[in-house]
Amino acid sequence: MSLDSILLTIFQRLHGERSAQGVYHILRGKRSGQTLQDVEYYQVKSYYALLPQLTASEFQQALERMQADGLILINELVYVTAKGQMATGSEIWRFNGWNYRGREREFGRRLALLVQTLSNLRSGETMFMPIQKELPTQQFIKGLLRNQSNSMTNLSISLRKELEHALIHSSLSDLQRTIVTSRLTGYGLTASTWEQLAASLNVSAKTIQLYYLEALHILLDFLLQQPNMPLLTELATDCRVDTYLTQSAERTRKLYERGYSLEQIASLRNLKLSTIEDHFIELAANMDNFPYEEFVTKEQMVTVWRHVEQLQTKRLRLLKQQCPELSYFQLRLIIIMEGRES
Amino acid sequence: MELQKVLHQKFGYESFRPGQQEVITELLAGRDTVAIFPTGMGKSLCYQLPAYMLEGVVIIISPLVALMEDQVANLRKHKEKRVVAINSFLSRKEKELALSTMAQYKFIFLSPEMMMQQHVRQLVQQLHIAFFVVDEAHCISEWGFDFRPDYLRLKELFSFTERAPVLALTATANKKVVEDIITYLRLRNPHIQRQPMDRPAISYRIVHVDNESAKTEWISERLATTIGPGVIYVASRKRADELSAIIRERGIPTASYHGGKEQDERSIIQEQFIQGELEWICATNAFGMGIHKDDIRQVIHEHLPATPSAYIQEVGRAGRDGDKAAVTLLYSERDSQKVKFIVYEDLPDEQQILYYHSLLQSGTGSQLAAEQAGLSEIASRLLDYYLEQYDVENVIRQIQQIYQVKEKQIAEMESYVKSDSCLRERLVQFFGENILPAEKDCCSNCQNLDDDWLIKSEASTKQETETLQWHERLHQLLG
Repeated sequence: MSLDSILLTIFQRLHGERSAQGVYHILRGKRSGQTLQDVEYYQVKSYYALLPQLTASEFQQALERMQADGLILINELVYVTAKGQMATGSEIWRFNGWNYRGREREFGRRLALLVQTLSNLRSGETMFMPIQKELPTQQFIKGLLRNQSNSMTNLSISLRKELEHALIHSSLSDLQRTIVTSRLTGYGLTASTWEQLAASLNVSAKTIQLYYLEALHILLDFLLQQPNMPLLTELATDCRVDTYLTQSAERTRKLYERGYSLEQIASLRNLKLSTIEDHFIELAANMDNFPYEEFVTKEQMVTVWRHVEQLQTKRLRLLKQQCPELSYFQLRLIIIMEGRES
Repeated sequence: MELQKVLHQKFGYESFRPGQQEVITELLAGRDTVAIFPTGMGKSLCYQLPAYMLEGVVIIISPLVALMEDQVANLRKHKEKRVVAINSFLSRKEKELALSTMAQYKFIFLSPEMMMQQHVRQLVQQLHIAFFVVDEAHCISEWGFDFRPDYLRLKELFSFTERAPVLALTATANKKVVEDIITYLRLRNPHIQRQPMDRPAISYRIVHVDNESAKTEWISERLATTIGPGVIYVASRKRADELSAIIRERGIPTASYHGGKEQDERSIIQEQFIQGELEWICATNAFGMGIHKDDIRQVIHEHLPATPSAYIQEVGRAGRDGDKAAVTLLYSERDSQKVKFIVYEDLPDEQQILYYHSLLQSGTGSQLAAEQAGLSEIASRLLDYYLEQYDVENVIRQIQQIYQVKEKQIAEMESYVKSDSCLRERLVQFFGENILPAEKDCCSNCQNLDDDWLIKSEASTKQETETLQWHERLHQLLG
């Protein structure tokens, strides 16, 4: 499967209610109220910040190709055609973009450097060109090794055992096990490029990269539940997002906790009320126990949810026509809460 | 005596390469020095060794981040921990940390932009400096092939009467460029150490073909019958990918290498090439710096390099181990048009300069103005520098001069490919040197090439490495 299948999946979830640009922002992980709200509304968090490096022209090319193939229709908003629905395929991606947001790649880099280092050291080779050039990665691995009391040979074997265990038990596909290990370099054994893997596995290079990305997410998720993997767990340090709120929303949250109202916060922070409302949407999407009942009643929620169900839409303008007594802010809150409940 | 000992203890060499000892001795005596060494002939040792014989830090100003990282990695490989690179790729926090702990390092690499920032300069000037190194010093000269305006600002640093000596390093510099280096870096009565440009191990070939597809054919045939490891230089990223795919189809392990690939991929390809897993690399000019592979047997150019300097640097990557190496330049009639197009694209014309200038005057930001005037990043940096120094008429004149220099360099390359005299002789003549043709294995014009050593034996083709199962691979890597 490919970028196309990811795009089709997301477009389908948004069922023609968002522009292509919105999807681009989701994949790049834009930290704006609108994008954060979209991933929550349409339940595409697992794709959030999946491809932080995706360029506008790559994205544009993919769209044009899919349009030419009749998979999607673009008329400001993006619609998936029947042909597109067929082409989406039944394969389910198991990404966890929301929790890693590009940092999974750092885990991959650290792993590659640690394996290369231990592989060389255990073979008695102390001089080698590091396969990872980034200084922070190098410093991280140096720090990790400095704090070890074990011999390098023992450490090497421990790492191999951990990796073996993780690869076997973490629900990776066999193809992914091959991809992950093929990206490791060591003494007398160099990693394969994406292109080389594509040729030997007979799968396109782009697809292999996506499988690799998914494998990193699966491995990182797996490590969370495994207490006995000290080396891999250390490599995963700080790769998972710990705060889901933007800084600005965090400040709003603190003021709200101290008892200020939305209007007061807006004037205190010298921001527009609508910005503060965006923050609350963000809070609702990310906090456990968000006090929604201070803004909407249970009855209002049930009513709006029923309209969403009947009209098969989450577009605010249409919902507002049905419930003119509710503000847009209240409508957005209710939709977010629906996503969270389910 | 002392020098030899350090050479052996710190670097494990028994003897100096030609010219190194002279440079080091002059530098240790406190004299400014210009060292012109062909690629791969041991330039770096000229500053690394004296660093261990003097108190204080060595400040190395290096124009390319990739090059800097490579030098740093190399020093670290030799167990030198007191080394740091400060460039725009560091995060603010890393940069601050590096700057605040500068005194504890022995080697500090700085990009020229970073060096000339006020607070960085102040910090550097407080250090006890053994000497300065300006790497790739030809970049200071607009007559050089990759002029960097930022380098011109360095003169502010070296104008002080009391300052540590400066070592200017370059691989290629004709007389004019050396003059520029001396003037702009404010060098005082410098010692000039020029090592001969000629590389006896290399034999030169020019092959005229009719068109692009004839080139592809020639390369396919050549690679099927002659040995690697080798590098094929091409004009574009796209062509690098395309050509390497064609060669791979013939069962020859090949990869493309260019700036469009992610860092991880480039590292892997370099490593595979060094380990001998890849026989050929199809590359843009992004490939070369920092490749430490001594046994490259062939370099093929599929396009016309824009300057003799670029050409001599790229072919200079062959045969560093001193064994025979063959270089080939493929030429078809339209190639000089193509290289002109690429080179001139980066240079602003008069209209663009005037428009850019008027936009800046009316308060438009430099980035937006550059965009609106259709300037490349290089072009806008160049103009920013000149507009600071001169009025707009003079800037136009300056740019026209650069244009003429580039034109002349391309004309030199054209005359080179069309020449029927000795190619070895012609090439070094561009750098003001005179040599005689070699008696054998000289060049295609001397017609004394014996290519038997190049022929691929049957046995050396095809050595399929079997793919390992993933768990076998893990065991082989980690035990």
